[in-house]
Amino acid sequence: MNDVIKMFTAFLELSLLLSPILLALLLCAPLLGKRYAAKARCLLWAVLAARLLFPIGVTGERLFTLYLPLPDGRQAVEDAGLTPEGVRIPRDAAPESGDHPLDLPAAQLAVGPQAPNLAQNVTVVWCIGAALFLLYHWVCYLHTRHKLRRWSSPVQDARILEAFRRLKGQHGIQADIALFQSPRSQGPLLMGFFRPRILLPRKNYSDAQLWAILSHELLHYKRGDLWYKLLLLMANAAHWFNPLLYWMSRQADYDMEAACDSGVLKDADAQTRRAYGFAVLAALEHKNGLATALTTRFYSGKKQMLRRFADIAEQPARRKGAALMGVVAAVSFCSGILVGCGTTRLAEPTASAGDPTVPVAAEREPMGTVAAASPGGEGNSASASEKAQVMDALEQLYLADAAGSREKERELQSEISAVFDAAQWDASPYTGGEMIWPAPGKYVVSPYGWRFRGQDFHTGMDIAGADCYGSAIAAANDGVVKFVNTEYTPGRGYGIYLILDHGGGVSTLYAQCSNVLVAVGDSVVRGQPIAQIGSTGFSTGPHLHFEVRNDGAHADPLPYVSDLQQGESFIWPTAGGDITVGFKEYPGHTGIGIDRPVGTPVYASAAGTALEVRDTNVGYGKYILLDHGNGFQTLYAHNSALYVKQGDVVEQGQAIAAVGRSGNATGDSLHFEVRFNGRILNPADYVGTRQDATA
Amino acid sequence: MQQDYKKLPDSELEVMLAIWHCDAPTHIGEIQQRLNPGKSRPYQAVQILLSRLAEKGFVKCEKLGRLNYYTPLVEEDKYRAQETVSFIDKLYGSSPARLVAALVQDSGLKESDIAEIRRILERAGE
Repeated sequence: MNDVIKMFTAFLELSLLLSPILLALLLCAPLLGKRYAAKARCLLWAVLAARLLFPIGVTGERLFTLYLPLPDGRQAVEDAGLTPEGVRIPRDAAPESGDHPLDLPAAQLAVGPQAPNLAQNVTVVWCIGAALFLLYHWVCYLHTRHKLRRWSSPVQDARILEAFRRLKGQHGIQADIALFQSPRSQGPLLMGFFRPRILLPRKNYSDAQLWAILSHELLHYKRGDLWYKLLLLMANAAHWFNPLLYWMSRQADYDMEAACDSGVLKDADAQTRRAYGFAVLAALEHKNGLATALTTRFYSGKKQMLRRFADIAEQPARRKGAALMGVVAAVSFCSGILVGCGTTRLAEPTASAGDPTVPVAAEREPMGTVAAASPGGEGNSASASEKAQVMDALEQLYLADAAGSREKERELQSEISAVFDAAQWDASPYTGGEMIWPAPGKYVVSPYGWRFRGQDFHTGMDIAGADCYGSAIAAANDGVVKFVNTEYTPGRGYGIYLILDHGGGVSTLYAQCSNVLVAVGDSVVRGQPIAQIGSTGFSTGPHLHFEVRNDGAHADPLPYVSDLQQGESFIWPTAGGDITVGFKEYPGHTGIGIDRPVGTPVYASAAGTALEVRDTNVGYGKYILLDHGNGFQTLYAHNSALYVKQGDVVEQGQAIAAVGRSGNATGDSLHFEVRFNGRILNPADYVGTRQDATA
Repeated sequence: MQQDYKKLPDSELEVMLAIWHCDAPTHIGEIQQRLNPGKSRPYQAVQILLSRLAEKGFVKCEKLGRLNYYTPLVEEDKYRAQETVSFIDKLYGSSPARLVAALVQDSGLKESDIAEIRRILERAGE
């Protein structure tokens, strides 16, 4: 019991100690909100919550080494936790504004021989309070979870799943986050500490809404905001008697949302912000419609809500540096006061009571550690988001601002048609034959044709790869340099580009370059370096925009170029057998079926990384999706055993699974698929129709 | 027509949700595909759940060829609206959001507030 009393007094001491700082910070919150980025404020609350939850350096024993004026004016120093006498807390002690700064009513701990029961009673009340608090929230949580789960079903809409997959990739999230549709959810939300899931209340969302909602929730996940909430809740439970903690929790929640908003909208233009704002508003309206039916709860978050939208609409110029400074200043400010407080508080009684056993410096250490740790945390989260791919960024641009992007597309069209209209084309027939791949080692990130769900027709294909900036671009075929453009407006048009004439009206265009290595009129040979990959013009990242034009009209380049994937070769994915069920043999059969006995090894058709390894009872059953890093993916389904984990690097020919009949298989068979940039291809084109026929 | 439906147990509701989300009529294979991948529900289990739902009058079962096809007889919205709001729902209302990260918090905004937000956003686009 003495230990519990000690713990309680430690928390009580912390509560009292931090309350003035907390109060000051909360009162200044509107001001803080203007000056420092929401992320910095979140960090501040987290630091405070952690401090409140872990009373390191606060022993609790020291509370009773305080000079405490007793009613009769006597002063007593006693180590209550350790002495048999214990402490007494006068039930209604008048606040005595003695010479001590911490003289609050609750701190009127006096010491007397008849007090132990009272100290115990207060501690018991504290324990019960904390337990009830946690119980309430735990029941709430379980109840909500059950209610939501009961009504949730996995999202099946391919459009939503694709958007989700894309955004996950963009945020560099590997984890398996389930996406559910749950009409009982009052708004899109993220839940689940260990098995995270995102719930969407509705089935129909516009692309812009999907982008906003999913980005927001994914960012919550990436930042570990659920754990942040848990930390605040635990701090609140330990200090349930302190009203400031409830206030802080609400403020922290608000700041967390604001930080998430500003994270999603980082570098976003006005159009994107607006689209995001409307998406949040739509969710709010949907929720309001539901909420009135269910609850009559009264909540006054109006002001904060209005401010949130104002922030979304117009991001105030808060620099990252400023944010960091804010955190450092705030943390050092708060730890400074703490240390100062601790020192004066401790110094006084120590001096008067002549008790040298209380080390003054002990208070400093934990705060010092916290202050030093926080700027590092900020730095980490900033670097994590740099995996965004060219196409994701571009697609986002399109979805967020379709009109603006179409305008830029129109510019592209007029820019290039002017050039082609002016040119005189060689009238002889095209005799060049198959072209070569113009960017060796790089692969297609966005193919020719309709893209972004019908928002844009892509007149060429975009080719990129890791660290491709500055890589050489090869002439796809022999020809003459017809046109070179080196002047451009950043963010507009084809940027730096050149056009080669290959005779017979066929020409190739190489755009968004960083540098052109040839001049108009030069004759070039097949494979000769003619330019370097860049990101000039209307581009969101280094890539080569490659077009093939026939008499000036764009055409799908794929039939013209030979080696689509530069030496990628696939092998037959299992031991023996042949195709039992062909590609598209029945509607929806997106791969080939190879009947083999259970346990026959399944081989990685090419080297790669295990992107998804799932053990399900439906559909594909136990399956593996390998990513070959060049736009190609292969899928192996219906296995009986899986030998690799998600993220494993596999060699070509490595046994990764065993044939089985899991999922909706009708017999013992391997279901094998080949995908390229999301397009489903006929595997027979890559692995042949039986083992010895492997291409 | 006001009808009182029995509250469905979780497993039956899960199957019902799958049926609602498919194009009617649908068969068991399709239903199975749409069930929660986290839980394993063998074919026979789904069949049993379907027959219970048919007994309760939630679905209609027709045999077409070799397969049984199911059509929902109860609309999703109607059932949801009718499912009793439990005591605990009333007690907690929408407060338990403390351990989930929701896009929007319960703010009790009125029509006029929504209109104000709309104005803020529209102004920003100019």
